[in-house]
Order: sequence, then structure tokens, then C-alpha cells
Amino acid sequence: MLYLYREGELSNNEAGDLVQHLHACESCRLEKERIDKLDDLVTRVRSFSPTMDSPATLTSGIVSAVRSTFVNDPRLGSGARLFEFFARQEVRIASAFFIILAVGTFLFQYLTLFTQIHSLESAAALEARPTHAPGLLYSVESARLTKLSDSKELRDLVPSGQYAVEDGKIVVRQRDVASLLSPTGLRFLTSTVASSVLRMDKQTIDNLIEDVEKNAKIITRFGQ
Amino acid sequence: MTDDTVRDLIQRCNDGDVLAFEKLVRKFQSYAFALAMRLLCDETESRDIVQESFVRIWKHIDRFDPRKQFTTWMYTIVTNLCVDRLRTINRNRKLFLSHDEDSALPDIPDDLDVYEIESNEELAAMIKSLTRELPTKQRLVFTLRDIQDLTVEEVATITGLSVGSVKTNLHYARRALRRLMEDKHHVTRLEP
Repeated sequence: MLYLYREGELSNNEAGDLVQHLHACESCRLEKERIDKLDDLVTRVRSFSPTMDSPATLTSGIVSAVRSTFVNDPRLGSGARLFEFFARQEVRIASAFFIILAVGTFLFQYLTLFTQIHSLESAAALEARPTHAPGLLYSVESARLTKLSDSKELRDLVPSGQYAVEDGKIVVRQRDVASLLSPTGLRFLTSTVASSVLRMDKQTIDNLIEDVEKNAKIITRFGQ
Repeated sequence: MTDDTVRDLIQRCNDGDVLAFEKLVRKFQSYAFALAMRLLCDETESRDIVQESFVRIWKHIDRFDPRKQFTTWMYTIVTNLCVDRLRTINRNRKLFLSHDEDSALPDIPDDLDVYEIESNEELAAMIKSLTRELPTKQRLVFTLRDIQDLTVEEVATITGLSVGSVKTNLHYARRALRRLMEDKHHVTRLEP
């Protein structure tokens, strides 16, 4: 009866009767006190919820156990297995690491190759077109040009930033040294100077060109 | 988490979605552990039971009736495994422990009025001391109803007993516990 009362399973009338009886009956009242004492203890036991150490470890252990136990589970089709395999956190981390490594390796190799190509190009350009420190000047000297050095027209060939005449030498600034070094460039330069500036006739020009091609020396020197 | 979400997770488990299963485990493993711990009073055993329970849940998830509470179904599996384990433990104890060792199980604390449980070990000791003398069925019903705080109907569903049988076993368990406390704390027992 007391437990039915405790469980709330008595009707209002029955509960009322019981309460009245408890007032009058000491033995039932003591029994109820013992029930209350046990209830109090059980309540304290119930109020403590067991705590679990490292729940994540337990979770991963359970999932691993399922994977290993149900390898041939028909629910886990190959596609689903592949998907869930790549959806696993450790696989995601490994995949990300692999992608970063792959991209890094690719970029490193690309940059290395790019640097090598650039070096080769630079070396090739250096062979084809020597580069020199600023302040270097190049001059073409030939006997015939030297003879012409006194001519006013040649001196009027005012430095344009590319050509100048100094002491009977055609002085070429650094950036145009490539055209000077090539036979075609030398011929063109001589021809231009001879026809446009000195207004020589064709035969004279041809002679001058022949002389320059045969005898001209290209000299590098320091200058402004 | 709403029931709909749990149902969705279960449906996805049925479709072979292990990620959904992992979420389900993460959500409910602490409840399963609490019950196992209260029944077995041993952390390591309880973790094993939780793992085994969820492996069974995955295996038989198609048998779950989505109109019912998932926790009730889970508790049924956990309880069945715990009962099996308790039987094994009791059998081994009878086989391998002497009477003296058996009586060395924890006793109800003396300072009961101010006693506070603050750790798993203290909880295990207290439950052991309370239920050590109870037959398995009474211990099970008492733990599920009074300590796990499930309803009588839930206890009946989980244990497979009738509601009447649950109440009867609960009554006997409580009576035995009252007598145990009287004996240990010299409370005057009323003569019938």
C-alpha cells in the first residue's frame, strides 16, 4: 500500500485514507520512514550519472568494429564503402595532406623547371646578345672610318642614345651592341651612316662596308 | 536531437550509411554506458557491452520499429548483454572465489545520511553494496526502475517481463534492501 502510494497509484480517496492512517499508526509511519530513507539513498545514487572516459575512442572503436565485422554487409555496396571510406575523418585528413603534398611537389617541380628554363634562356641570350654592366661602350674602328672622323657630317651624327661618333669611331651604346655584333647589323649601320649622313655614292659605300667588315674592330671600353 | 532526426539517422543506417551510424553512436553511447555501468558496476566491462550493443544495433537496425523509442530498443539490447555478462560473472565468482572473498564485496557506507557519490567507483561500490544480495531479476528490475529511472512499462518492455511481474520483483527487491539497511544501520525492524 505504501509503495502504491509512493508510486502515485492510489486514488485520491485511498491516498487520503492512507495519510490519515499514518497519523494514527506508528508502525506504518516507521515503515514509511524506512521507505523514505531508502528512497533518499536511491535518489542520490540515481542523481550521479556515470561518466565515460574518452568517448571519442569508444565511438571510433565501435565504428571500426562494425566495419571489420560487416565487411561483406550488402548494405555497404562498393560505392557506399568507397564514399564512407573517404568520409572518415582520418582518411579526410590523409587525403588533404596528400593533396597538399602533391600540389606542393608539382609547384616545386614547376618552379624548378621554370628556373632552369629561365637560366638556359638567359645563358642562350647571353651567348646571342652579351649583356654588360652599365657604363660600357662599344666602338667600331676602321681605318676608313677614322679618315671620315673629321667630316662634319659624321660629327653631326649626334648621339641619339644609340649611335655616336667619337674620335672617328662609331660608338654604340650598350643596348644595341647585338646589332653591332652581327654582320648584318654592322653592314646596316655602316650603310646608314655612309648614305644618309655622309651621302656617299654606292661604290664608295660598298668599299666602306667591305673595309668595315674586313678590318673593323669591335672594342669594349669603359665610358659614360 | 528530435525523434525525426533519430529516425532519419536510423533510416540512413538501414541504407548502409556508416557516418549516420557514427552520429547515432555518438549521440546515444553515453546513455548505453550509464545503464551498463549501473548494471555491471565495472567501467571496462561496460565499455565492452556498449561496443557489443552497438554492433548488434547495426546488425539488426532493420528490426527496429520506428514508431517506438530508440532508447527503449537500445536499452533492451544493452540489458540483455549485461544480464548475460552478469550470469557469467556470477558463475565465475561461484567457481573461483571462496566464501571469504565473496563476502569482501563492498558494504553500505556507515555515513549514509551525508554520503555523496562523486565518482564512477563510488557509484559502483554503492550499487554493488545495495544489490549484492538480490537475485538477478530483482537486481535488474530495481536498477532499471529505481536507479535508471525508467517507467514500469519500459522496464517490462526491456526485460520481457509483464508489468505485474516487474512490480512484484520491484517490491521484493525494495523489501530486501530495506532489511539490508536495517541490518547494517541497526534500524528497528518492525515485527509483522
